[in-house]
Amino acid sequence: MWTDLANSGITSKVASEVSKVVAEDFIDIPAEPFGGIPSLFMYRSDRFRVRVSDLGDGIQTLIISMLLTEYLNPDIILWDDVESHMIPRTLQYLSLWLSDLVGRGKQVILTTHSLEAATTIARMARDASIVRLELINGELCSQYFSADDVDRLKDLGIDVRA
Amino acid sequence: MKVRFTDPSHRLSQDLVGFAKRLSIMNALVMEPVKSRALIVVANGSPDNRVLLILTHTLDGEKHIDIAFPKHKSVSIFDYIHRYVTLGYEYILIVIDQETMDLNHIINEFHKRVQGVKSSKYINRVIHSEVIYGVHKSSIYVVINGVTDPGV
Repeated sequence: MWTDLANSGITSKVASEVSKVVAEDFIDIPAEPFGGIPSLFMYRSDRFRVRVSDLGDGIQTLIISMLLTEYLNPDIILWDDVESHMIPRTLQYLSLWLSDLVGRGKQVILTTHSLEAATTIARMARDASIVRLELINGELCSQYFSADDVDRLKDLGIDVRA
Repeated sequence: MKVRFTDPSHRLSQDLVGFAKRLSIMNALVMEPVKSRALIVVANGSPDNRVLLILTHTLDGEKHIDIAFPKHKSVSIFDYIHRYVTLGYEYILIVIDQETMDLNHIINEFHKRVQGVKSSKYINRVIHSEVIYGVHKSSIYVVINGVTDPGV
């Protein structure tokens, strides 16, 4: 699988994309043994290697998600707790990438407990809606909000998650 | 009566949790995400939030009521009452401080700013009004804290 990924140019494309959110100049993601265990590395333009598992959890999640999505090319993406370990800048980049996926005809369904994540993604991703799910008397009910709705309600002392 | 925060991360919600803990009246707070039919809007923050907690605890019942601490203070909250109505609350209690305002001024501001008022009456520092906004209908009660003559 990794040979397919590398040969298709996906690893170099993802490395280049990830460089936009970290202060590095990654050019590829080779898989090489580390202590006898196959490991992924971020390969910099100065030929320095950084083990992916040594990077922050948020960046690791972004790298793996991008590699899998670009390789498998799914029509529907389901992502639970999308904001996990992500700093605002990574989240912002993620929003733009998800918006790009939607523009390419994918359907993206995310869950989050973070208002910041919900409003950031809803503002940046094309045609995005925030849906609150609530179990009322055993019936699963949904309510749709825009990012502005969520902010306005917060100003009124209403947290849509509460 | 118990209270449930509509924004648990608000500083006044957190203040109230600490206050309830100090008074050992944590049973006056509801943590479950079960929405009430009634809402209290505290338009002037602390210590009104603490007074309301003590009152609800004194009334001591099983029913709970939602409590919101909006960013919009004093009479400016009247501009946003219709938004609470659209959330489906059947009863909304707005608690505001008179401060240096004349009572008639507050009553006039209510009628000028609140959208969808169908009927309204004023008795003893309480404005009671029926508001219809879209498909939603609510009974609004505005309680004005203070003295009749703000100069006293």
